[in-house]
Amino acid sequence: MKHYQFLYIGEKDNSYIFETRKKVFYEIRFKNSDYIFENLSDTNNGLFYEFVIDILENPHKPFIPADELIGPTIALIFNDFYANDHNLVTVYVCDSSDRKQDLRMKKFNQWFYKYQDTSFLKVDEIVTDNKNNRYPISLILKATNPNRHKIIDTFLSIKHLTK
Amino acid sequence: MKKSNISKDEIIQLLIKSKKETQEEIKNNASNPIYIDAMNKLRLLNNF
Repeated sequence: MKHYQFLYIGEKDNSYIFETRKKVFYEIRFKNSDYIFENLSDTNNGLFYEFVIDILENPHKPFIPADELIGPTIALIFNDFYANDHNLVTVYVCDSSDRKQDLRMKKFNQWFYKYQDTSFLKVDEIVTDNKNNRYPISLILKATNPNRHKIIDTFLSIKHLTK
Repeated sequence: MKKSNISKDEIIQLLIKSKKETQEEIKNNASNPIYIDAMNKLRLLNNF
């Protein structure tokens, strides 16, 4: 599978970076997010991470060049991060500030199902706030995670919490 | 499952706040020496 070279920077949020052939630099982060789930789950503390993809440098602003190697590169970064611990759990929340959250989720789903290996499970959910704004959220974990049933139940329960 | 003490809107607001903070940090990272060094390493490796 062709992909870009990436570097693990680490720092406080487990950052990775890579450069595309159009000289756009992407940063991928796995940010510890236990605080979000601490009241929802009594298992797996220290294992919940928020996945973030963003652009560090883009000489083509405001345009973002399409690139077929971004998807496979992100899939390999996921594998690299999970190689440390197969019990990690990642949550992906699409940026909704410009109301393009559904497009972002569609793109993420395309990457995930085309390039991610089958050892991962993904569960998608849409939650709405008290103003009826929609937030697509995905939960990603290894199929071998021994607590997967409980984690998925907990994730799905967010939708049914009272506003 | 432990009973939740947090509402759905609170979870959403925490997630959005976290996302905004991270995006702001990433914007600033382009001038962070650790990132500049890593970006230069990649430029040399890739030589696009």
